[in-house]
Amino acid sequence: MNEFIEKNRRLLHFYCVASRAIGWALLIVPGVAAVVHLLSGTLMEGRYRLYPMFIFVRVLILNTMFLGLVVLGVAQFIRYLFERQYQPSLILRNADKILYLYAFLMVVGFVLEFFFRATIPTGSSLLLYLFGWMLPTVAKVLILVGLGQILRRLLPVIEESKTLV
Amino acid sequence: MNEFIEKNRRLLKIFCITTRIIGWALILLPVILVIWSLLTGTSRFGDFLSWPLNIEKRLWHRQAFSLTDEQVDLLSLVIRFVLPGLLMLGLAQFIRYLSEKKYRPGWTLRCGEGILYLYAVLITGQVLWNYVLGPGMKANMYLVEGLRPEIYQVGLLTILASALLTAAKVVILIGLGQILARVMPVIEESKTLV
Repeated sequence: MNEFIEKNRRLLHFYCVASRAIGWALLIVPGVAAVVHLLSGTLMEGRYRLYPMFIFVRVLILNTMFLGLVVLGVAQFIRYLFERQYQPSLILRNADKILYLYAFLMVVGFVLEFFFRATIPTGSSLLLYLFGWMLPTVAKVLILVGLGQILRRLLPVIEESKTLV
Repeated sequence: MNEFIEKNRRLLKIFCITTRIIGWALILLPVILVIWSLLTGTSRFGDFLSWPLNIEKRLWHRQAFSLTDEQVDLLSLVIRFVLPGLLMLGLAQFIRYLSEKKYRPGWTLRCGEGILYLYAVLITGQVLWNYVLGPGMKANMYLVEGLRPEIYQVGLLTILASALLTAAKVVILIGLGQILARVMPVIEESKTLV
């Protein structure tokens, strides 16, 4: 493995830098977007105010900010895996909790979306929505919980392997 | 770690079974849909992926790439159902590999790295195809009556946002692929230690 790391050090370094840049961008952009929309007040227009607001918040929090945290976590994990002296920082240390929270919010988002779709005429079938979207959502939730479980068990194994000569 | 596994063996087993069931459901569902549409001759299984104004997107695909509805739907089914299904099967196998001493990784886990890279390539392809090229993005954003389309007509900014989100997903998938390739020998090594 060490040989591989030495050969690909530049590539791994580039990967980590790119991941961190993307991760931070995903954390910062939603904040800026929220301020812009709040100042412009565009989301409070239209017949159904609550649904666009919900979509907006969901996209910012679930699709953007948590995605950014996961990207930063993956970059830190790769550094932890490849660098002998690197100690996991805040995001990686709490990565399992972040993943569980992400999964929980995803479930909340799905339930709220279902509620909105049941009450607002969106033009698409509710039954089709349930089948077409529930299964992928459950899959995502299980993937996140599974990754959290794996991470919790994997970090000590990696730590152990680092201490072996 | 072994103590934790012993304590939570039942929970891990339930998790693995659930993950495998949903994984297979995700893989089989598109196959059933395709067969059903072939048998009934309806050829519109894309309604299953129903977002409002999907028709607008379909028209655009047809005009821009001469693609049939079925071809567009098939790609969406693969990306939204089959690949996540494979990921779930791989995840269940990985958890078993991590928690059971004698478990040998199955096909999905052995090819996990390749599946993750393929997923990354297909996501990039789909976004380039669907969104970055223009009108598809707008059509996708008109989510509900009452939401003014002008809000989302921001051109370059929207494209950049879409590119950023896709780049994040691609980076995660590639990173997971890299981690998987490097972590498997470490786990194998830790199993041999007493």
